Amino acid sequence: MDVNYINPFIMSSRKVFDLMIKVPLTIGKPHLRNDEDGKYAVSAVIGLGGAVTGCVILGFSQRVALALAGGLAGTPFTSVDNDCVDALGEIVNMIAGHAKTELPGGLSTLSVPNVITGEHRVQYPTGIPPIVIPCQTQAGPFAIEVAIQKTPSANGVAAAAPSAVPVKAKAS
Amino acid sequence: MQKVLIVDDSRTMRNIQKNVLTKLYPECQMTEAGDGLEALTVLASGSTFDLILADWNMPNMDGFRMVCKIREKDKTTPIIMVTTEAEKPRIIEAIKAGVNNYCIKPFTPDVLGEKIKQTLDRARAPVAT
Repeated sequence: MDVNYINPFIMSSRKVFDLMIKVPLTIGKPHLRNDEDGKYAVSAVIGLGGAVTGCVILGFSQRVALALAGGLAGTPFTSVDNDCVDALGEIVNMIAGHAKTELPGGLSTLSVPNVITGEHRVQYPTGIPPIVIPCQTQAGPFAIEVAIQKTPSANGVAAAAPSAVPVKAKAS
Repeated sequence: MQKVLIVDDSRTMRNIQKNVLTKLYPECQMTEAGDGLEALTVLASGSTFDLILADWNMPNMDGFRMVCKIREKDKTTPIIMVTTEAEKPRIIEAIKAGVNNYCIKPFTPDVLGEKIKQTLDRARAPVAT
């Protein structure tokens, strides 16, 4: 786990929460994703390309998603509707966008964010070990998953950013 | 009275910027566009603005390309880039393209408000002869 690729997301999250979401945030110890991680009701996903390749995911319960989206929008949400989805997309955009400024290696680009709803577990391309940054708010916990690496380049051309593949959890 | 064009693919972000503008200029008329292409369509219809607030990363046409297109014909309407693109090369690129001011996301309403006032004051300042 290279802290140079993780610390920017911790600092960026604090900044986004302090300045715009205005919900107190406690950040826990990052760890390699395990079998207990990665199951969410709502995820906000954004890809990175350029000097780094991979993706960043914010994974929430519905309750936390509504609270954080409402914190940014300044208006409470009662369901994960289009406006709530828009706010969640903007949160992951700002966290990843601000973090990428501090990532090593040079300029990176962001994809347009996506939001996934419905119980699911995100899976990643082989070879990029996801790091989970556990976070806690008054509304409950959520996670920032960072699966990025320095872009391997062939003939001086950086690879395109792979996407995370969300997979619905099997019904029990 | 100020007329402002707000260009951002996030409705949440457009609302945040509208709230800042309304507090500063209660009489402000605001027009919204969801991407650079939509903004150019608004401008091509003949609408003029005292200020354009532009995101960078948007679908269909990003803010940087939009600024380049606007500046082909309009060298004077002030443009503030409101974006997560904070790397120095990006900022320099945007200024060279004709952006007048830069507000990095995340921001507080006060910071955006100050940048808007700064930009409009500079735009109104008489040019030394």
